[in-house]
Amino acid sequence: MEQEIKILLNKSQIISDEEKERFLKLLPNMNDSEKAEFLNRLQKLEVAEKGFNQLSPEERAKEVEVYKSAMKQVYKKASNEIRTVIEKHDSAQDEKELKNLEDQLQNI
Amino acid sequence: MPELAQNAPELVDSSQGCRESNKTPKQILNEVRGLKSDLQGEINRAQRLKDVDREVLKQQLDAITSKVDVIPKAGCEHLALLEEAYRELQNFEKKFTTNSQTLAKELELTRTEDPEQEVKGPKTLKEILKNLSTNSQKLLELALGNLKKLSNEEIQVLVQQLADPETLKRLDRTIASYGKAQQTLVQFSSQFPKAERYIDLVRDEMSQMWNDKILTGMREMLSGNGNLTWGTNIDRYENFSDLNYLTVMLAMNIIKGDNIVIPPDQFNSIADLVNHSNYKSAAGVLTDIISQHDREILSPETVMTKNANGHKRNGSPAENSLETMLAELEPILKQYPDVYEYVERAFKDQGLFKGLAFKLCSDIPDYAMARRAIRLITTPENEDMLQASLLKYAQYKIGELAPNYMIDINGREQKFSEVLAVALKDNRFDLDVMNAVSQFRKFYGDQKTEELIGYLPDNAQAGLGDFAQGSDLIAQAE
Repeated sequence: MEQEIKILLNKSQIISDEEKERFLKLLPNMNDSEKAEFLNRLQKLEVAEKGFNQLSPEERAKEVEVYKSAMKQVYKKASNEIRTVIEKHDSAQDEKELKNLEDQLQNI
Repeated sequence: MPELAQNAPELVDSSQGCRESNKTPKQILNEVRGLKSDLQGEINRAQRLKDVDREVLKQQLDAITSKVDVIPKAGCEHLALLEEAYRELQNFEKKFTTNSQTLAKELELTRTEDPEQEVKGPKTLKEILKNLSTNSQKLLELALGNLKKLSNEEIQVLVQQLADPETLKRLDRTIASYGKAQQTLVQFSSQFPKAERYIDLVRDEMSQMWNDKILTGMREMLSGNGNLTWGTNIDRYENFSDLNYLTVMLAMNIIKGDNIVIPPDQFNSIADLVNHSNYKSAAGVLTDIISQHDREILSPETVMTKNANGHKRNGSPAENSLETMLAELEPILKQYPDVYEYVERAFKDQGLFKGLAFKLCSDIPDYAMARRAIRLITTPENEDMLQASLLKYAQYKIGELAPNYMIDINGREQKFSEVLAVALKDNRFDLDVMNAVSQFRKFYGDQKTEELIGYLPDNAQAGLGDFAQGSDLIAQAE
Protein backbone atom coordinates (compact mmCIF):
# COMPACT_ATOMS: atom_id res chain seq x y z
CA MET A 1 0.00 0.00 0.00
CA GLU A 2 2.83 2.39 0.87
CA GLN A 3 4.39 1.81 -2.51
CA GLU A 4 1.12 2.61 -4.26
CA ILE A 5 0.74 5.80 -2.22
CA LYS A 6 4.25 6.89 -3.18
CA ILE A 7 3.60 6.25 -6.88
CA LEU A 8 0.35 8.23 -6.84
CA LEU A 9 1.95 11.07 -4.88
CA ASN A 10 4.77 11.23 -7.37
CA LYS A 11 2.40 11.21 -10.35
CA SER A 12 0.19 14.06 -9.14
CA GLN A 13 0.61 17.44 -10.83
CA ILE A 14 -1.63 19.20 -8.36
CA ILE A 15 0.25 18.27 -5.20
CA SER A 16 3.29 20.53 -4.87
CA ASP A 17 6.76 19.16 -4.14
CA GLU A 18 6.59 20.64 -0.69
CA GLU A 19 3.29 18.92 -0.01
CA LYS A 20 4.63 15.64 -1.38
CA GLU A 21 7.58 15.89 0.98
CA ARG A 22 5.24 16.57 3.88
CA PHE A 23 3.02 13.62 3.05
CA LEU A 24 6.01 11.31 2.72
CA LYS A 25 7.12 12.33 6.20
CA LEU A 26 3.67 11.71 7.62
CA LEU A 27 3.41 8.30 6.00
CA PRO A 28 5.49 6.30 8.52
CA ASN A 29 3.33 7.64 11.36
CA MET A 30 0.08 6.46 9.78
CA ASN A 31 -1.64 3.27 10.86
CA ASP A 32 -3.17 0.93 8.28
CA SER A 33 -6.63 2.47 8.25
CA GLU A 34 -5.16 5.95 7.87
CA LYS A 35 -3.01 4.73 5.02
CA ALA A 36 -6.08 3.22 3.35
CA GLU A 37 -7.95 6.50 3.72
CA PHE A 38 -4.98 8.40 2.32
CA LEU A 39 -4.69 6.03 -0.63
CA ASN A 40 -8.40 6.36 -1.31
CA ARG A 41 -8.15 10.14 -1.51
CA LEU A 42 -5.10 9.97 -3.73
CA GLN A 43 -6.94 7.64 -6.11
CA LYS A 44 -9.87 10.02 -6.28
CA LEU A 45 -7.48 12.86 -7.03
CA GLU A 46 -5.79 10.83 -9.75
CA VAL A 47 -9.13 10.24 -11.49
CA ALA A 48 -10.02 13.92 -11.20
CA GLU A 49 -6.64 15.04 -12.55
CA LYS A 50 -6.88 12.64 -15.46
CA GLY A 51 -10.38 13.88 -16.36
CA PHE A 52 -9.33 17.51 -16.20
CA ASN A 53 -6.18 16.97 -18.24
CA GLN A 54 -8.19 15.38 -21.04
CA LEU A 55 -10.14 18.58 -21.62
CA SER A 56 -9.22 20.75 -24.58
CA PRO A 57 -7.90 24.25 -23.77
CA GLU A 58 -11.27 25.73 -24.79
CA GLU A 59 -13.25 23.31 -22.62
CA ARG A 60 -10.90 24.00 -19.77
CA ALA A 61 -11.28 27.77 -20.15
CA LYS A 62 -15.06 27.37 -20.24
CA GLU A 63 -15.06 25.29 -17.04
CA VAL A 64 -12.86 27.80 -15.28
CA GLU A 65 -15.24 30.56 -16.28
CA VAL A 66 -18.34 28.70 -15.07
CA TYR A 67 -16.63 27.58 -11.87
CA LYS A 68 -15.39 31.06 -11.06
CA SER A 69 -18.80 32.54 -11.60
CA ALA A 70 -20.45 29.89 -9.39
CA MET A 71 -17.80 30.41 -6.76
CA LYS A 72 -18.29 34.16 -6.82
CA GLN A 73 -22.01 33.71 -6.19
CA VAL A 74 -21.48 31.32 -3.32
CA TYR A 75 -18.82 33.53 -1.74
CA LYS A 76 -20.91 36.63 -2.22
CA LYS A 77 -23.80 34.96 -0.41
CA ALA A 78 -21.53 33.90 2.44
CA SER A 79 -20.04 37.36 2.53
CA ASN A 80 -23.50 38.91 2.89
CA GLU A 81 -24.39 36.48 5.65
CA ILE A 82 -21.25 37.50 7.56
CA ARG A 83 -22.14 41.14 7.06
CA THR A 84 -25.56 40.45 8.54
CA VAL A 85 -23.87 38.94 11.60
CA ILE A 86 -21.77 42.10 11.92
CA GLU A 87 -24.75 44.40 11.44
CA LYS A 88 -26.82 42.51 14.03
CA HIS A 89 -23.95 42.79 16.48
CA ASP A 90 -23.59 46.51 15.78
CA SER A 91 -27.27 47.22 16.28
CA ALA A 92 -27.26 45.16 19.48
CA GLN A 93 -24.31 47.28 20.65
CA ASP A 94 -26.20 50.46 19.78
CA GLU A 95 -29.19 49.27 21.79
CA LYS A 96 -26.94 48.43 24.69
CA GLU A 97 -25.36 51.86 24.61
CA LEU A 98 -28.78 53.49 24.41
CA LYS A 99 -29.92 51.48 27.38
CA ASN A 100 -26.83 52.58 29.32
CA LEU A 101 -27.55 56.19 28.44
CA GLU A 102 -31.14 55.82 29.58
CA ASP A 103 -29.97 54.28 32.84
CA GLN A 104 -27.54 57.13 33.35
CA LEU A 105 -30.25 59.68 32.66
CA GLN A 106 -32.54 58.05 35.19
CA ASN A 107 -29.81 58.21 37.79
CA ILE A 108 -29.30 61.97 37.36
CA MET B 1 11.94 32.14 -7.46
CA PRO B 2 11.00 29.58 -10.09
CA GLU B 3 7.28 30.38 -9.81
CA LEU B 4 7.91 33.64 -11.59
CA ALA B 5 9.03 31.91 -14.74
CA GLN B 6 6.08 29.51 -14.56
CA ASN B 7 3.64 32.37 -14.27
CA ALA B 8 5.15 34.30 -17.17
CA PRO B 9 2.45 33.55 -19.75
CA GLU B 10 -0.28 34.45 -17.32
CA LEU B 11 1.19 37.86 -16.62
CA VAL B 12 2.24 38.74 -20.12
CA ASP B 13 -0.73 37.49 -22.07
CA SER B 14 -3.99 39.32 -21.61
CA SER B 15 -6.08 37.09 -23.87
CA GLN B 16 -8.36 35.07 -21.60
CA GLY B 17 -8.65 31.87 -23.62
CA CYS B 18 -4.94 31.69 -24.40
CA ARG B 19 -4.14 32.45 -20.80
CA GLU B 20 -6.26 29.60 -19.43
CA SER B 21 -4.81 27.11 -21.89
CA ASN B 22 -1.29 28.00 -20.78
CA LYS B 23 -2.00 27.39 -17.12
CA THR B 24 -1.33 24.21 -15.28
CA PRO B 25 -4.24 22.65 -13.36
CA LYS B 26 -2.47 23.69 -10.19
CA GLN B 27 -2.33 27.32 -11.30
CA ILE B 28 -6.00 27.25 -12.21
CA LEU B 29 -6.93 25.80 -8.85
CA ASN B 30 -4.86 28.38 -7.02
CA GLU B 31 -6.51 31.10 -9.00
CA VAL B 32 -10.09 30.04 -8.35
CA ARG B 33 -9.27 29.53 -4.72
CA GLY B 34 -7.87 33.05 -4.64
CA LEU B 35 -11.45 34.30 -4.92
CA LYS B 36 -11.84 33.31 -1.32
CA SER B 37 -9.76 36.31 -0.25
CA ASP B 38 -12.78 38.64 -0.47
CA LEU B 39 -14.66 36.40 1.87
CA GLN B 40 -11.66 36.32 4.15
CA GLY B 41 -11.91 40.11 4.36
CA GLU B 42 -15.44 39.82 5.74
CA ILE B 43 -14.36 37.11 8.16
CA ASN B 44 -11.55 39.36 9.38
CA ARG B 45 -14.03 42.18 9.87
CA ALA B 46 -16.27 39.93 11.91
CA GLN B 47 -13.37 38.72 13.98
CA ARG B 48 -12.47 42.28 14.91
CA LEU B 49 -15.85 42.80 16.57
CA LYS B 50 -15.58 43.83 20.17
CA ASP B 51 -17.68 42.70 23.12
CA VAL B 52 -18.78 39.55 21.44
CA ASP B 53 -19.01 35.98 22.63
CA ARG B 54 -16.08 34.48 20.71
CA GLU B 55 -17.45 30.97 20.83
CA VAL B 56 -20.82 32.01 19.43
CA LEU B 57 -19.13 34.10 16.73
CA LYS B 58 -16.89 31.19 15.79
CA GLN B 59 -19.90 28.90 15.48
CA GLN B 60 -21.72 31.43 13.32
CA LEU B 61 -18.72 31.95 11.03
CA ASP B 62 -18.01 28.23 10.80
CA ALA B 63 -21.64 27.57 9.85
CA ILE B 64 -21.45 30.15 7.07
CA THR B 65 -18.03 29.23 5.71
CA SER B 66 -18.75 25.50 5.74
CA LYS B 67 -21.28 26.13 2.98
CA VAL B 68 -18.77 27.74 0.62
CA ASP B 69 -17.12 24.43 -0.18
CA VAL B 70 -20.27 23.32 -1.96
CA ILE B 71 -20.00 24.91 -5.40
CA PRO B 72 -22.66 24.00 -8.03
CA LYS B 73 -21.02 21.64 -10.50
CA ALA B 74 -23.16 22.17 -13.60
CA GLY B 75 -20.94 23.12 -16.52
CA CYS B 76 -17.70 22.68 -14.59
CA GLU B 77 -17.84 19.05 -13.44
CA HIS B 78 -14.17 18.28 -14.06
CA LEU B 79 -12.79 21.31 -12.28
CA ALA B 80 -15.26 20.92 -9.40
CA LEU B 81 -14.24 17.29 -8.99
CA LEU B 82 -10.57 18.23 -9.06
CA GLU B 83 -11.07 20.93 -6.46
CA GLU B 84 -13.08 18.59 -4.25
CA ALA B 85 -10.51 15.79 -4.49
CA TYR B 86 -7.66 18.15 -3.68
CA ARG B 87 -9.57 19.69 -0.78
CA GLU B 88 -10.35 16.27 0.65
CA LEU B 89 -6.68 15.42 0.54
CA GLN B 90 -5.81 18.62 2.37
CA ASN B 91 -8.54 17.93 4.93
CA PHE B 92 -7.04 14.53 5.50
CA GLU B 93 -3.65 16.09 6.19
CA LYS B 94 -5.25 18.61 8.54
CA LYS B 95 -7.10 15.90 10.42
CA PHE B 96 -4.05 13.72 10.68
CA THR B 97 -1.73 16.48 11.85
CA THR B 98 -4.31 17.79 14.35
CA ASN B 99 -4.23 14.39 15.99
CA SER B 100 -0.43 14.62 16.16
CA GLN B 101 -0.70 18.11 17.58
CA THR B 102 -2.98 16.90 20.33
CA LEU B 103 -0.28 14.41 21.19
CA ALA B 104 2.28 17.22 21.15
CA LYS B 105 0.16 19.24 23.58
CA GLU B 106 0.02 16.29 25.90
CA LEU B 107 3.78 16.10 25.75
CA GLU B 108 4.02 19.80 26.43
CA LEU B 109 2.14 19.38 29.65
CA THR B 110 4.14 16.39 30.83
CA ARG B 111 6.74 17.17 33.46
CA THR B 112 9.77 14.97 33.78
CA GLU B 113 10.47 13.48 37.16
CA ASP B 114 14.21 13.30 36.59
CA PRO B 115 15.86 15.25 39.50
CA GLU B 116 19.03 15.99 37.48
CA GLN B 117 17.00 17.65 34.73
CA GLU B 118 15.22 19.67 37.40
CA VAL B 119 18.52 21.35 38.39
CA LYS B 120 19.70 22.06 34.82
CA GLY B 121 16.68 24.01 33.70
CA PRO B 122 13.10 23.89 32.52
CA LYS B 123 11.69 20.58 31.39
CA THR B 124 8.65 21.32 29.33
CA LEU B 125 7.97 23.61 26.41
CA LYS B 126 5.46 25.45 28.52
CA GLU B 127 8.09 26.24 31.12
CA ILE B 128 10.59 27.19 28.43
CA LEU B 129 8.10 29.66 27.04
CA LYS B 130 7.73 31.25 30.47
CA ASN B 131 11.45 32.03 30.52
CA LEU B 132 11.42 33.97 27.25
CA SER B 133 10.59 37.62 26.71
CA THR B 134 7.05 38.37 25.51
CA ASN B 135 8.06 38.81 21.86
CA SER B 136 10.13 35.69 21.93
CA GLN B 137 7.22 33.83 23.42
CA LYS B 138 4.99 34.96 20.62
CA LEU B 139 7.38 33.86 17.95
CA LEU B 140 8.15 30.59 19.58
CA GLU B 141 4.45 29.91 19.97
CA LEU B 142 4.13 30.66 16.29
CA ALA B 143 6.96 28.35 15.47
CA LEU B 144 5.56 25.68 17.70
CA GLY B 145 2.58 25.58 15.39
CA ASN B 146 5.01 23.62 13.29
CA LEU B 147 5.15 20.95 15.90
CA LYS B 148 2.32 19.31 14.08
CA LYS B 149 4.79 18.66 11.30
CA LEU B 150 7.26 16.98 13.67
CA SER B 151 7.02 13.40 14.80
CA ASN B 152 6.50 12.59 18.46
CA GLU B 153 10.09 11.43 18.80
CA GLU B 154 11.34 14.67 17.32
CA ILE B 155 9.22 16.67 19.77
CA GLN B 156 10.72 14.81 22.71
CA VAL B 157 14.27 15.53 21.54
CA LEU B 158 13.33 19.14 20.89
CA VAL B 159 12.11 19.59 24.46
CA GLN B 160 15.49 18.42 25.73
CA GLN B 161 17.41 20.61 23.28
CA LEU B 162 15.47 23.74 24.07
CA ALA B 163 16.16 23.32 27.75
CA ASP B 164 19.73 24.46 27.07
CA PRO B 165 20.15 28.13 28.14
CA GLU B 166 22.63 28.85 25.31
CA THR B 167 20.06 27.75 22.74
CA LEU B 168 17.50 30.02 24.30
CA LYS B 169 19.90 32.97 24.05
CA ARG B 170 20.37 32.32 20.35
CA LEU B 171 16.66 31.96 19.90
CA ASP B 172 16.21 35.42 21.39
CA ARG B 173 18.57 36.79 18.72
CA THR B 174 16.41 35.23 16.05
CA ILE B 175 13.40 36.90 17.55
CA ALA B 176 15.18 40.27 17.50
CA SER B 177 15.86 39.80 13.78
CA TYR B 178 12.23 38.99 13.22
CA GLY B 179 11.19 42.18 15.00
CA LYS B 180 13.58 44.20 12.83
CA ALA B 181 12.18 42.65 9.70
CA GLN B 182 8.66 43.53 10.81
CA GLN B 183 9.76 47.11 11.43
CA THR B 184 11.35 47.33 7.99
CA LEU B 185 8.16 46.04 6.48
CA VAL B 186 6.15 48.77 8.18
CA GLN B 187 8.58 51.42 6.85
CA PHE B 188 8.36 49.87 3.44
CA SER B 189 4.58 49.99 3.47
CA SER B 190 4.56 53.68 4.30
CA GLN B 191 6.74 54.38 1.26
CA PHE B 192 4.58 52.26 -0.96
CA PRO B 193 1.02 53.33 -0.19
CA LYS B 194 -0.67 50.76 -2.34
CA ALA B 195 0.94 48.09 -0.21
CA GLU B 196 -1.61 48.66 2.52
CA ARG B 197 -4.02 46.56 0.51
CA TYR B 198 -1.69 43.63 0.68
CA ILE B 199 0.11 44.18 3.91
CA ASP B 200 -1.83 41.54 5.78
CA LEU B 201 -1.08 39.07 3.06
CA VAL B 202 2.62 39.83 3.30
CA ARG B 203 2.56 39.58 7.06
CA ASP B 204 0.96 36.17 6.80
CA GLU B 205 3.51 35.06 4.25
CA MET B 206 6.29 36.43 6.39
CA SER B 207 5.03 34.58 9.43
CA GLN B 208 4.82 31.44 7.38
CA MET B 209 8.33 31.99 6.04
CA TRP B 210 9.74 32.44 9.51
CA ASN B 211 7.79 29.45 10.65
CA ASP B 212 9.46 27.42 7.95
CA LYS B 213 12.88 28.78 8.85
CA ILE B 214 12.44 27.94 12.48
CA LEU B 215 11.21 24.52 11.58
CA THR B 216 14.32 24.07 9.45
CA GLY B 217 16.40 25.27 12.37
CA MET B 218 14.66 22.80 14.64
CA ARG B 219 15.23 19.97 12.24
CA GLU B 220 18.90 20.82 11.75
CA MET B 221 19.32 21.09 15.47
CA LEU B 222 17.73 17.71 15.91
CA SER B 223 20.06 16.27 13.31
CA GLY B 224 22.90 16.75 15.79
CA ASN B 225 24.49 20.11 15.00
CA GLY B 226 22.58 21.72 17.83
CA ASN B 227 23.42 25.26 18.81
CA LEU B 228 25.87 25.79 15.98
CA THR B 229 23.07 25.40 13.48
CA TRP B 230 20.92 27.95 15.20
CA GLY B 231 23.75 30.45 14.96
CA THR B 232 24.37 29.70 11.28
CA ASN B 233 20.72 30.13 10.48
CA ILE B 234 20.57 33.44 12.26
CA ASP B 235 23.57 34.78 10.34
CA ARG B 236 22.07 33.60 7.09
CA TYR B 237 18.78 35.40 7.58
CA GLU B 238 19.94 38.56 9.24
CA ASN B 239 20.58 40.39 5.96
CA PHE B 240 16.85 40.42 5.23
CA SER B 241 17.25 39.51 1.61
CA ASP B 242 13.94 37.76 2.13
CA LEU B 243 12.27 41.07 2.65
CA ASN B 244 13.32 42.12 -0.84
CA TYR B 245 11.95 38.87 -2.11
CA LEU B 246 8.69 39.69 -0.38
CA THR B 247 8.72 43.13 -1.92
CA VAL B 248 8.79 41.54 -5.35
CA MET B 249 6.00 39.16 -4.42
CA LEU B 250 3.97 42.05 -3.09
CA ALA B 251 4.44 44.03 -6.29
CA MET B 252 3.55 40.96 -8.34
CA ASN B 253 0.38 40.56 -6.30
CA ILE B 254 -0.63 44.13 -6.97
CA ILE B 255 0.07 43.68 -10.65
CA LYS B 256 -1.94 40.49 -10.83
CA GLY B 257 -4.77 41.91 -8.72
CA ASP B 258 -5.09 44.94 -10.96
CA ASN B 259 -4.71 43.04 -14.23
CA ILE B 260 -1.74 45.15 -15.22
CA VAL B 261 -0.05 43.72 -18.29
CA ILE B 262 3.75 43.77 -18.22
CA PRO B 263 5.28 44.15 -21.68
CA PRO B 264 7.29 41.02 -22.56
CA ASP B 265 10.68 42.78 -22.76
CA GLN B 266 10.14 44.38 -19.35
CA PHE B 267 9.00 41.08 -17.96
CA ASN B 268 12.14 39.37 -19.19
CA SER B 269 14.38 41.93 -17.59
CA ILE B 270 12.48 41.61 -14.29
CA ALA B 271 12.74 37.82 -14.46
CA ASP B 272 16.45 38.20 -15.14
CA LEU B 273 16.91 40.40 -12.07
CA VAL B 274 14.96 37.94 -9.94
CA ASN B 275 16.93 35.00 -11.25
CA HIS B 276 20.09 36.78 -10.11
CA SER B 277 18.50 37.39 -6.70
CA ASN B 278 18.49 41.12 -7.37
CA TYR B 279 15.08 41.46 -5.79
CA LYS B 280 15.48 45.07 -4.85
CA SER B 281 15.98 46.22 -8.46
CA ALA B 282 13.17 43.96 -9.65
CA ALA B 283 10.90 45.49 -7.03
CA GLY B 284 11.93 48.94 -8.24
CA VAL B 285 10.96 48.15 -11.83
CA LEU B 286 7.67 46.63 -10.75
CA THR B 287 6.92 49.61 -8.53
CA ASP B 288 7.48 51.94 -11.48
CA ILE B 289 5.05 49.90 -13.56
CA ILE B 290 2.44 50.08 -10.83
CA SER B 291 2.93 53.83 -10.35
CA GLN B 292 2.64 54.43 -14.09
CA HIS B 293 -0.54 52.34 -14.13
CA ASP B 294 -1.95 54.31 -11.18
CA ARG B 295 -1.17 57.61 -12.86
CA GLU B 296 -2.99 56.50 -15.97
CA ILE B 297 -5.94 54.97 -14.21
CA LEU B 298 -6.42 57.90 -11.86
CA SER B 299 -5.91 60.72 -14.33
CA PRO B 300 -9.16 62.76 -14.49
CA GLU B 301 -9.69 61.87 -18.18
CA THR B 302 -9.36 58.14 -17.59
CA VAL B 303 -11.61 58.23 -14.57
CA MET B 304 -14.30 60.14 -16.42
CA THR B 305 -14.08 57.88 -19.48
CA LYS B 306 -14.06 54.85 -17.23
CA ASN B 307 -17.14 55.99 -15.36
CA ALA B 308 -18.98 57.10 -18.46
CA ASN B 309 -18.38 53.75 -20.10
CA GLY B 310 -19.11 51.66 -17.07
CA HIS B 311 -16.62 51.02 -14.42
CA LYS B 312 -14.29 48.08 -14.90
CA ARG B 313 -10.95 48.63 -16.58
CA ASN B 314 -11.15 45.60 -18.79
CA GLY B 315 -14.76 45.05 -18.01
CA SER B 316 -17.45 43.03 -19.66
CA PRO B 317 -20.93 44.54 -19.24
CA ALA B 318 -21.65 42.11 -16.42
CA GLU B 319 -18.67 43.38 -14.51
CA ASN B 320 -19.55 47.04 -14.96
CA SER B 321 -21.75 47.01 -11.93
CA LEU B 322 -22.11 48.65 -8.62
CA GLU B 323 -20.71 45.51 -7.06
CA THR B 324 -17.49 45.87 -9.03
CA MET B 325 -17.18 49.48 -8.04
CA LEU B 326 -17.70 48.68 -4.38
CA ALA B 327 -15.26 45.79 -4.62
CA GLU B 328 -12.62 48.21 -5.88
CA LEU B 329 -13.46 50.67 -3.19
CA GLU B 330 -13.43 48.22 -0.34
CA PRO B 331 -9.65 47.75 -0.08
CA ILE B 332 -9.26 51.52 0.22
CA LEU B 333 -11.94 51.87 2.84
CA LYS B 334 -11.53 48.62 4.69
CA GLN B 335 -10.30 50.46 7.75
CA TYR B 336 -13.41 52.62 7.75
CA PRO B 337 -16.35 50.23 7.58
CA ASP B 338 -18.91 52.91 8.45
CA VAL B 339 -17.74 55.13 5.58
CA TYR B 340 -17.88 52.15 3.24
CA GLU B 341 -21.41 51.37 4.34
CA TYR B 342 -22.38 55.01 3.86
CA VAL B 343 -21.09 54.82 0.26
CA GLU B 344 -23.10 51.65 -0.27
CA ARG B 345 -26.21 53.38 1.04
CA ALA B 346 -25.57 56.40 -1.20
CA PHE B 347 -25.83 54.22 -4.28
CA LYS B 348 -29.31 53.23 -3.11
CA ASP B 349 -30.31 56.72 -1.98
CA GLN B 350 -28.66 59.13 -4.42
CA GLY B 351 -29.46 62.10 -2.18
CA LEU B 352 -26.77 60.97 0.22
CA PHE B 353 -24.12 61.90 -2.34
CA LYS B 354 -24.74 65.53 -1.38
CA GLY B 355 -22.70 65.15 1.76
CA LEU B 356 -20.64 62.12 0.84
CA ALA B 357 -17.41 63.74 -0.36
CA PHE B 358 -17.33 65.86 2.81
CA LYS B 359 -17.80 62.75 4.91
CA LEU B 360 -15.08 60.83 3.06
CA CYS B 361 -12.60 63.70 3.41
CA SER B 362 -13.34 64.32 7.07
CA ASP B 363 -13.51 60.66 8.15
CA ILE B 364 -10.44 59.41 6.29
CA PRO B 365 -7.25 60.91 7.71
CA ASP B 366 -5.34 60.34 4.45
CA TYR B 367 -6.75 63.06 2.20
CA ALA B 368 -5.19 61.59 -0.97
CA MET B 369 -6.91 58.28 -0.21
CA ALA B 370 -10.24 60.04 0.29
CA ARG B 371 -9.87 61.82 -3.07
CA ARG B 372 -9.03 58.54 -4.72
CA ALA B 373 -12.16 56.96 -3.26
CA ILE B 374 -14.22 59.92 -4.50
CA ARG B 375 -12.80 59.48 -8.01
CA LEU B 376 -13.69 55.81 -7.93
CA ILE B 377 -17.32 56.43 -7.08
CA THR B 378 -17.81 59.39 -9.41
CA THR B 379 -20.37 58.76 -12.15
CA PRO B 380 -21.99 61.23 -14.55
CA GLU B 381 -25.11 61.09 -12.36
CA ASN B 382 -23.49 61.92 -9.04
CA GLU B 383 -20.56 64.03 -10.21
CA ASP B 384 -22.19 67.41 -9.51
CA MET B 385 -23.27 66.42 -6.01
CA LEU B 386 -19.86 65.00 -5.17
CA GLN B 387 -18.06 68.06 -6.51
CA ALA B 388 -20.35 70.37 -4.54
CA SER B 389 -19.71 68.35 -1.42
CA LEU B 390 -15.97 68.40 -2.08
CA LEU B 391 -16.15 72.14 -2.50
CA LYS B 392 -17.80 72.51 0.88
CA TYR B 393 -14.98 70.52 2.42
CA ALA B 394 -12.37 72.68 0.63
CA GLN B 395 -14.06 75.82 1.99
CA TYR B 396 -14.15 74.32 5.45
CA LYS B 397 -10.44 73.40 5.31
CA ILE B 398 -9.48 76.84 4.00
CA GLY B 399 -11.39 78.39 6.89
CA GLU B 400 -9.54 76.07 9.24
CA LEU B 401 -6.09 76.71 7.74
CA ALA B 402 -6.40 80.49 7.57
CA PRO B 403 -9.40 81.52 9.68
CA ASN B 404 -8.64 85.20 10.08
CA TYR B 405 -5.95 85.92 7.54
CA MET B 406 -6.64 89.27 5.87
CA ILE B 407 -5.39 90.21 2.42
CA ASP B 408 -5.27 93.41 0.46
CA ILE B 409 -7.27 93.43 -2.75
CA ASN B 410 -7.14 96.71 -4.62
CA GLY B 411 -6.49 98.60 -1.41
CA ARG B 412 -9.38 96.92 0.43
CA GLU B 413 -8.83 94.43 3.25
CA GLN B 414 -10.72 91.19 2.86
CA LYS B 415 -10.77 87.85 4.58
CA PHE B 416 -8.68 85.41 2.52
CA SER B 417 -10.95 82.46 3.28
CA GLU B 418 -13.99 84.41 2.07
CA VAL B 419 -12.28 85.50 -1.17
CA LEU B 420 -11.34 81.94 -1.94
CA ALA B 421 -14.73 80.58 -0.90
CA VAL B 422 -16.47 82.92 -3.38
CA ALA B 423 -13.96 82.01 -6.12
CA LEU B 424 -14.59 78.33 -5.53
CA LYS B 425 -18.35 78.78 -5.51
CA ASP B 426 -18.32 80.70 -8.80
CA ASN B 427 -15.48 78.66 -10.26
CA ARG B 428 -13.81 81.95 -11.10
CA PHE B 429 -10.06 82.22 -10.62
CA ASP B 430 -9.21 85.69 -11.79
CA LEU B 431 -6.29 87.96 -11.06
CA ASP B 432 -7.66 88.98 -7.67
CA VAL B 433 -7.83 85.37 -6.52
CA MET B 434 -4.34 84.67 -7.80
CA ASN B 435 -3.13 87.75 -6.01
CA ALA B 436 -4.79 86.52 -2.84
CA VAL B 437 -3.09 83.12 -3.11
CA SER B 438 0.22 84.81 -3.85
CA GLN B 439 -0.09 86.94 -0.69
CA PHE B 440 -0.98 83.84 1.26
CA ARG B 441 2.14 82.08 -0.07
CA LYS B 442 4.39 85.00 0.90
CA PHE B 443 2.98 85.05 4.40
CA TYR B 444 2.62 81.32 5.16
CA GLY B 445 5.29 79.85 2.88
CA ASP B 446 5.19 77.20 0.17
CA GLN B 447 4.36 74.19 2.32
CA LYS B 448 1.15 75.53 3.80
CA THR B 449 0.13 77.03 0.44
CA GLU B 450 0.58 73.69 -1.29
CA GLU B 451 -1.41 72.04 1.47
CA LEU B 452 -4.17 74.56 0.94
CA ILE B 453 -4.13 74.12 -2.85
CA GLY B 454 -4.21 70.37 -2.33
CA TYR B 455 -7.63 70.72 -0.71
CA LEU B 456 -9.11 72.53 -3.69
CA PRO B 457 -11.22 70.60 -6.22
CA ASP B 458 -9.48 69.52 -9.44
CA ASN B 459 -10.88 72.35 -11.56
CA ALA B 460 -9.73 74.95 -9.03
CA GLN B 461 -6.27 73.42 -8.95
CA ALA B 462 -6.18 73.50 -12.72
CA GLY B 463 -7.26 77.17 -12.68
CA LEU B 464 -4.54 78.09 -10.22
CA GLY B 465 -2.03 76.04 -12.21
CA ASP B 466 -2.88 77.93 -15.43
CA PHE B 467 -2.44 81.19 -13.62
CA ALA B 468 0.89 80.17 -12.12
CA GLN B 469 2.10 79.20 -15.57
CA GLY B 470 0.95 82.53 -16.99
CA SER B 471 2.62 84.44 -14.16
CA ASP B 472 5.88 82.63 -14.82
CA LEU B 473 5.72 83.56 -18.49
CA ILE B 474 4.97 87.19 -17.64
CA ALA B 475 7.83 87.23 -15.13
CA GLN B 476 10.17 85.75 -17.75
CA ALA B 477 9.05 88.30 -20.33
CA GLU B 478 9.60 91.12 -17.88
